[in-house]
Amino acid sequence: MSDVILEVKDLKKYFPIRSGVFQRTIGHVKAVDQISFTMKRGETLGLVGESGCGKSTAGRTIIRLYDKTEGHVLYNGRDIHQLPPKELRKLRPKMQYVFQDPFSSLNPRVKVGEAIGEAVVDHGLCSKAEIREKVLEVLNICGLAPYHYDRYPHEFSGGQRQRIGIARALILQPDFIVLDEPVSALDVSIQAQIINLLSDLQQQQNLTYLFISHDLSVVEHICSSVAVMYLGSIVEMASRDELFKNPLHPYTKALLSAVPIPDPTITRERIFLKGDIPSPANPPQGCKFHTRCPVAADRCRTEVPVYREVGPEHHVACHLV
Amino acid sequence: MSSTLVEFRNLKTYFYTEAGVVQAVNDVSFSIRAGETVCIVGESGCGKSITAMSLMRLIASPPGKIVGGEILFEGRDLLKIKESEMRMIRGNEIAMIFQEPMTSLNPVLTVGDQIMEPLIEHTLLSKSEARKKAIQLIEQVGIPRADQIIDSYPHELSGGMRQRIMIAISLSCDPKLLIADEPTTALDVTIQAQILDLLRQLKKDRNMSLMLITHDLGVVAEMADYVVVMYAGKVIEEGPVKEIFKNPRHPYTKGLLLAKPVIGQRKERLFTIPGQVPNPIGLGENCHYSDRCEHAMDICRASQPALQKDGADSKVACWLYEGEGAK
Amino acid sequence: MSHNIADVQVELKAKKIKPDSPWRSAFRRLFKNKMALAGMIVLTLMFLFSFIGPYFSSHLDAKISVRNANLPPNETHWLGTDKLGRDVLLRTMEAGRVSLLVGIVAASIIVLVGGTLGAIAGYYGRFVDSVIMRLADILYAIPTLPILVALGAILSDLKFPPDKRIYLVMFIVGMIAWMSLSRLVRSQVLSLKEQEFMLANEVLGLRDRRKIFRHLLPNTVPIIIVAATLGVANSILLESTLSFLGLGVVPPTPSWGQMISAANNMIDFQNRPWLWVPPGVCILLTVVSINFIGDGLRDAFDPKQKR
Repeated sequence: MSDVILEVKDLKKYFPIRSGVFQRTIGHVKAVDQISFTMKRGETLGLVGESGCGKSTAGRTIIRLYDKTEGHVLYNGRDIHQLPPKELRKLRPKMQYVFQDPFSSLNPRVKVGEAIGEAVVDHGLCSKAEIREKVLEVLNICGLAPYHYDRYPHEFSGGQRQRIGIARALILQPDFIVLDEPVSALDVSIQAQIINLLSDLQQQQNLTYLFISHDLSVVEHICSSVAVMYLGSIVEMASRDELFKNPLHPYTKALLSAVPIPDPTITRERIFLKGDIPSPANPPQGCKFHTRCPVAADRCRTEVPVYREVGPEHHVACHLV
Repeated sequence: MSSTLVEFRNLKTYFYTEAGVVQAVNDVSFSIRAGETVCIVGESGCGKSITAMSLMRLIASPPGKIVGGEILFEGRDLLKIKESEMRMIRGNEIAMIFQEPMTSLNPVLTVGDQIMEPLIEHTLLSKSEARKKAIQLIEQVGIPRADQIIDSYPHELSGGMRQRIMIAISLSCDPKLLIADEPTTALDVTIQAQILDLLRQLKKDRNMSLMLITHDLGVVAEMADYVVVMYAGKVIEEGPVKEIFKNPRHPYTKGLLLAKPVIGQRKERLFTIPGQVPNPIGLGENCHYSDRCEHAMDICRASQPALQKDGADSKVACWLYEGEGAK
Repeated sequence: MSHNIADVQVELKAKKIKPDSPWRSAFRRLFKNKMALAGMIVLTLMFLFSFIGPYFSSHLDAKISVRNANLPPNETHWLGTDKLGRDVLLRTMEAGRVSLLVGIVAASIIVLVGGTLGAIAGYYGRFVDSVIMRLADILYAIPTLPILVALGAILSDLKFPPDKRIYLVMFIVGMIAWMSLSRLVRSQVLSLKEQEFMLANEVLGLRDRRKIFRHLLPNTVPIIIVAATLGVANSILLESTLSFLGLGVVPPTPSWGQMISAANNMIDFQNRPWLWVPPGVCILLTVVSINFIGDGLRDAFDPKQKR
């Protein structure tokens, strides 16, 4: 089972910046700037980067929550950005999305059981009579109790709401789930519960995850391969072990060294990055990272590095590698 | 060790809500020594921020109220002094920075105005002197082009820059204690590394104490000299940082350390602490962790363990180390 | 995951309470609010007084009698009589029917027109939004009273049947007050559209119908209820103003404003307070209690918001 489920080719998503009385477009925020990768069935790809690097936008554009600017997203060989609305709706259950904020992603006025079950009914995947049973089954799988069916979202803690969000995606029997920082809003003890739940579900149902996160320790735990994004572009992508043992891009190295390690006896060589992340509306010329790069050369300021394969399944965009 | 700067003695801060009384901080005692970094660790709702707000006497009342205990700052009980005296201590001797650098700066004032304000208020500097000092402070927190930045507005700065400005404001009157409430939670890892480094540096240069509130054990390991672990309004364990990480005593502390994935130490499966943090309303007389604890005994469900000395400089509140469980 | 199930069962034993729906908790908060509760009691009494009260009056058949004109309060006429000898108490009750009815119907028009237009503008955005909101802006910009005076004059010229005039008043009052509600609903819909759960509905591939009727509209109901409540009060006031100016309900149909208007000469005002005090007090009580209820509802629906 190693067939390709998702193929992203040169995907771009620009948001126009409008200004003035006539709302003229005066520029673009290049949230996603030409990213490409493929995903195999059953794998978990981690998409990491700092805030504003476009990782969430990428996740949303991939399942066509946002319309693309350019490029292709092939899901099982079909370009989902070319599908007519009816076909797209039919495909929706197969591609699901779990949101970061378990508070605003649930309608406060809809009971949990109904929130989980409504899409199944709406898609006609299940008769009204069976629906309750089906929801109860999913609740159980996600570690929730039957009596939770008739409750409202505000009666749940953050971790439980995230379970509800997962249950809502799971009941549609998806193949592919985009997990957008699913544990970032949760406490450590709850975070571990949700991560284990996600791993279990993946094994049981052969799910494919696109795991968006800024937390490298979580990514190392759950992902089989990792792509690092900076200002809308993927700067490095490799299998998990390769990336964490042998990071090549200076940004990846800096990111890894910046993660605090919960062991006071370890003191590490830390790479400090200068300054802040530039605005994606006006990214630097040449290599986008050169303004903060500790090893930037003259060439980096003028020439855009090519994203190329440097080792088995190891891609990087840097002149110095 | 050096002298004690702050001592919390049996602090109790309750919130009186529609649904019942929340014992947000319930009988908390620990101390912070001069020049030391104390980290308060715990999950959301454990009372770590409320403890800090109680020290600043910034609990909104109603619904909150400090119902008991003492907070000694250099021997003076802060809960007994007048509001006017407290105002002199706030910002002057104890300063505080918050999690959200976006909302804790006033958007309609320039950065310089906001740094100069406490200077003029507390140190009686003239306006031009205050401006000079403000530029110095901005340079000290590692922002280049300080003379330009001083006239910019908060929205023109990034999150990391704003947090630096907040730190500059808090340092303006040379406080003896800086309280940092999740100072890096809203920031990216590379920026977090910068800010933590800055705080460490400033603490060393100025020999001030740092009370760092965080939920991130990685931050604790990097910053702390001494760690206080809180759960459901109570201190359940405290000790020197190496002791806490090498030899955690309380099952909750152990669980937290095991549940966190660590780079380079990948496990097939994460350890989990079952269940949820208990509802803070109507907590019983049992050990609040007993419902989630794998070692829970009958006594844990019946009565609360006291915070007891265990080892040279550590304390733990758990029946496993007391009475019949201590075998 | 095994311990999760076990732990959930512990929880199950602990909690056997009814689910706490947002509606239920809102009304629980409303009934805890003393001002709102007082408002509800007074308003209920006002309705009983106006709609049931007249049946207990002994003056139903005794209509106009000049002999009994301008009597001060006495044993047979508890609140005295007016210049045509009609019982003021009975007339206040009957006026209440009209005033309350005008208030309710006008508020319904406000909700219907303002709510629908606001929701349409907010949901569809772009061109539709611009057209509706500019229309609202224009209507807002027209000074209300001069227009009403002009309208009243035109209507009098057109010989509009006086007994039908009350419906026209309801309509006018509704039509000049829908804009603020439509703005409220529009902004609410706009902010709801940005909520993540609406994006989640997109992921789930829900039909538009379900998105609008199940997720969007129920979340605008609280502000509509509040606006409608306050709309009733405003409409009663506006009707009183209109009637006082002689532009609203015309005699012999009574309304509170019209009763005050009938007493608008110096002699009545100074020497016969029983003519204008009762309807005045009624307007005051009704409007104040509706406003209390409205404020109570607002707090109940949005407990986080501080005033």
